[in-house]
Amino acid sequence: MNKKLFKNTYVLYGIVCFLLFFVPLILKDDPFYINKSSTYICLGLLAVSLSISWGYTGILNLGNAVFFGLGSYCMAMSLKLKTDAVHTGSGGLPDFMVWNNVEKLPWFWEPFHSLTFGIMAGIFVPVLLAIILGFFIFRGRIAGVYVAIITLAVMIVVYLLIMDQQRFTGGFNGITDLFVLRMGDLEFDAYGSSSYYLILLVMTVVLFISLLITKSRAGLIFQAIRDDENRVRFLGYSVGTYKTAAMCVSAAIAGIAGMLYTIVMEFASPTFLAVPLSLSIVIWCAVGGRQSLMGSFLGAIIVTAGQGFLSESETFLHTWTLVMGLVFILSVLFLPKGLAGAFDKLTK
Amino acid sequence: MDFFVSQFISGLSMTSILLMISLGLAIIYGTTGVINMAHGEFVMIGAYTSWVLQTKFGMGLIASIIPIFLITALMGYLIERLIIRHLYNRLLDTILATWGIGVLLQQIIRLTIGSELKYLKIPPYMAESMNLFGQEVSIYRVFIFLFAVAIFFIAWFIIYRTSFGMRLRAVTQNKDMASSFGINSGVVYSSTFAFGTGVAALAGAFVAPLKSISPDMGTNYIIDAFMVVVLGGVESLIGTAASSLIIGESSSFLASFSNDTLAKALVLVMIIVILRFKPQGLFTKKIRS
Amino acid sequence: MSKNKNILKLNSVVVDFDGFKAVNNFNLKINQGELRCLIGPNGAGKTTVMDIICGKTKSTSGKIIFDQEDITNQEEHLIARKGIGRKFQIPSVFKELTVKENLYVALNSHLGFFRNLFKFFNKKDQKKIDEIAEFVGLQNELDKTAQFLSHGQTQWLEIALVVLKEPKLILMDEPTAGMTDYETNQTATLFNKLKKTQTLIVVEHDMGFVKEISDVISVMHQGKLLAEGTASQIENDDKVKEAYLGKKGITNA
Repeated sequence: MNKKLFKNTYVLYGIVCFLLFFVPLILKDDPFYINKSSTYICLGLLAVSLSISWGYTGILNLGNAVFFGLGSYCMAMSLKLKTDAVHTGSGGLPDFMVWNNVEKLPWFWEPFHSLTFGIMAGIFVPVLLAIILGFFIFRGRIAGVYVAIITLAVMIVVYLLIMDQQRFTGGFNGITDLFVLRMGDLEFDAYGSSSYYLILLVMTVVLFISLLITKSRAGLIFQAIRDDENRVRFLGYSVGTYKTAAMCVSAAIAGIAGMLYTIVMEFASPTFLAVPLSLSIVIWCAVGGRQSLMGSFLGAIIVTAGQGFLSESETFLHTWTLVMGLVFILSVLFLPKGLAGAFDKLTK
Repeated sequence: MDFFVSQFISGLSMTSILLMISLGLAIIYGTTGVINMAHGEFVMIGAYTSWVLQTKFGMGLIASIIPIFLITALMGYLIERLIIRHLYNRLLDTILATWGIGVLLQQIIRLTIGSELKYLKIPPYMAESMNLFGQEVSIYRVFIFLFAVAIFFIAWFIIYRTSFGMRLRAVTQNKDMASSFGINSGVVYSSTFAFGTGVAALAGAFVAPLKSISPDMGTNYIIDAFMVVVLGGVESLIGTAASSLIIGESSSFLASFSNDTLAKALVLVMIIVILRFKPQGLFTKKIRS
Repeated sequence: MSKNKNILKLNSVVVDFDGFKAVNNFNLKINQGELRCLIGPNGAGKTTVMDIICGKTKSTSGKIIFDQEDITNQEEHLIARKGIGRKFQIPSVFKELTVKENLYVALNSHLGFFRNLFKFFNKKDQKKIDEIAEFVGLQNELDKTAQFLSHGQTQWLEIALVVLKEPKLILMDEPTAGMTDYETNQTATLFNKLKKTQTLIVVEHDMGFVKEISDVISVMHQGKLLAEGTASQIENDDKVKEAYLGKKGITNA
């Protein structure tokens, strides 16, 4: 932790954020590509969230997407309730509820009329789940392997519940046809650079706060827990509390990423908390370097951008996924610290 | 009374499929400590192999049992030798590596055979139903149940009554000690992997006619299989059988009251709660740390 | 420091693992400021005794009283906060962190998450870390990642981590295991320094080391206390000779 390095990490992150600022200009404001870029940044933030719990604290959360999905649904619920009657149904009920013969807006939808509530919920609902999970799993001293499976199972339970309760959640189709996000006089069009800059701004703030957290003594204790949790325990720390705290930080970041994602995708879907996405987050972090926030972030961007590049042809897409699977296996075998680790070694 | 009998029997059908899938996983995890996240994909490979053998080579289901087992066992063996072998000192990474392998297997199928759903018919001589304890039960499902029980006993016999099984148990309990007695743990590990994946493939082949065949069908089974294994503990095969029964019966029971989706969710929650209080599973003995 | 005040008492402690009694009706009394060595053949139960004092293993019956307080079967981190430090047989330090970072984690300050979220490294911390690093001889290795330390250095780092918390009682489990003669000598010097301010219980096999540092030696055998006394008393005890040391005495073990 010598001072020079300390300064360097912040500068490095600052440079990346600064460069990202120019993307819309490079893309000449092409709506399709700007929108795509916005989505990549959201997913990059999602990777950062897993980096905190997995890379720094050693908690292999295979269900991290659940926090992302919950955040996106919260934003979607608020935006849905702002939509004009044309897209909703009679009495201002969301269309899918009308189609499912729901008579009255369910109580848990009511507060989402307020966008502020929606945004707060997008952070607090995932965090609440993280607290419950943490209390449950970490108090019980469950070993790493079982944590991985339980977190995956929890995500699947939430997924199944959302799919099942179609009348209230839109089920398989998710919540679509959302109103555009409006804050004060600003309107954030999903295909415009206004959304891009909003997302970039939020991402920069969240990234720097996350970095600060990792540099604090609490962040160091997270890493100590990853390295030898028993030793941390015998130094007097309540390891269960710290692990839960790490999950909460992850959940908050993922929730924020989810909300931003809904803005640019213009819908929320159960696929946002499904196994393929959760698996992808793990791959991004493994490839980019899970012990580095920036590594995970860039890992996500490289992989998803590459995928986006090839999405025209289905064969290409499948081949890309195949190659990614292979790269993933190779990185697990030979590059446990991902590209960021390799970068670190080269610069030493 | 009638209700309970019919419930129990339909639960048994679920149990037997679960048992066949989990047996392989339990044996692999119990012996090597490897979490094979690709296990569901081996089920899928079994289904596809069955489809290929039946549609392209005109083989019947029963005739293809041995080829399916051998082909998949060979794949399992190769994967263990080439990839898993390097990760025995970092077991948590086996979750990742095997997940990657699962992705690879899915993609290979998508790029060769294609992603559209495939269908297989139940062998005509088993397509009828028979009368069992006053219930009309599909003969095919009875067959699967009997086969699952047979495989279970074969596995039990190998592990507890043969010298290979003894070596396997020695390696499971203490690999280094076993090695110092001249037991080749590498051979034990790869055979275990081969056997486990082979049995999973057979499960896939049998399940195939009941639903459709798709490249991602394995994902559903992996969670179920893991729940069986973690609930049953890795000490004994009996534990695996018992937890398959518990999970199979409760899923079926709950599904009759609500629907499949909710039943699955409830069963998962139930298991998570149990694991919180008994992290080693329901059937483990207290061991000296 | 009053040498008469009793700081640790184990009363009839039993640890039963599924029928096997690793610790069988064991009694122990340690006074403040002592350096007690716990010796015995492998499987005698020494590490298990350490484990139950610090809370790593739960005892089946019996009481553990620390500084007049009953700490039997409490949670590890709570016992640690009461002032018991433990150094493990297999050195447990934070391998991916640097020596400085290791020590920063172990500093005797706030334990709560929220306080530590807003705590960053400062000059005062640096001073404390420099002090302890010098105490254990690691002052030149502060920026080295812990996994690159030699075995002996790793042991000293762990001792530093334990000592930083300023515990009243330190449990050391085979601190010289795997050390070279030079490192063992350094460790003995270190222990003699520690002896002045802390109470120590040391489990050891290296008899030369034991003789150099201990006041009183307790010998364990099959979960029970076999004999207790100074080195010469132990040497001449018939029971000990029979069970453990053989006929040639303590220096030959």
